[in-house]
Amino acid sequence: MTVKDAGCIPMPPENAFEAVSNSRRRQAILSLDRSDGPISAGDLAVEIAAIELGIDPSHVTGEQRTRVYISLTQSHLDKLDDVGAVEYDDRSKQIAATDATGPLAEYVRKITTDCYEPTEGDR
Amino acid sequence: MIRGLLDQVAGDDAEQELSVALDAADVFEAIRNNRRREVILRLAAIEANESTDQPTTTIAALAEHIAAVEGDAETVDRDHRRAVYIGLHQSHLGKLDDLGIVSYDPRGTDVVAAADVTALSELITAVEEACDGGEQL
Repeated sequence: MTVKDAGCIPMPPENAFEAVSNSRRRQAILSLDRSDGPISAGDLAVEIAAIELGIDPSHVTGEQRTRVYISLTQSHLDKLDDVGAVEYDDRSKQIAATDATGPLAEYVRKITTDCYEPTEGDR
Repeated sequence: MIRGLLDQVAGDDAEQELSVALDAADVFEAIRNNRRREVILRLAAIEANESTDQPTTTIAALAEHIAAVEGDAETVDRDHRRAVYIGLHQSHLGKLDDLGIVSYDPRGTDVVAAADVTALSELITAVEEACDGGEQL
């Protein structure tokens, strides 16, 4: 697969770049792309907190989870839903994939692979 | 660990792998804004046209170019160009400099590529080409 063979993203470029500009939004897209069905905002918050803290999900405290949960439910999930990157139900707090989720996830993985953190010597 | 997993997943089917010596989060932040994307694309075009390793332009030339890209008229509107110039000067070029993508001294006029702008422009173009239609928010 080359870059061009990755799926079509059904949205204007401006919205796609905005959707993936934030690390929590990128993680939401990647997690949803990996899951078999809808996921809950609560489970996603635990997963993201664990990744950010570099710990096992079972060790995430209530406070750590809540911090991520609030940013997801008050900002990021609405934004992703607005552009059609995911489908987010504000009442049930369930997040489902759309046609755009898979292709966006492909580009996030692609760009993440192409970049590597420079060591001191590289700069 | 996650990073390694991602690399593995994407590496399996990525024939054409680019290599950009930048943190991925910095790249996503850099290409979030349309004018910053235009700066990168412009420097990549200069690199291709002039076969130089260190594509260089000026903030005034960038403002002229971006105002032309953004406008519909054949001639560039002076106020528009001025607004673009100010946005580049006060925000975008400083940010791209902080992220290690360009080198820009706010007391000077030159804008010089500080990273692989050609590889970055390929990433931008790939996403742009994959996107189709719909209404912009």
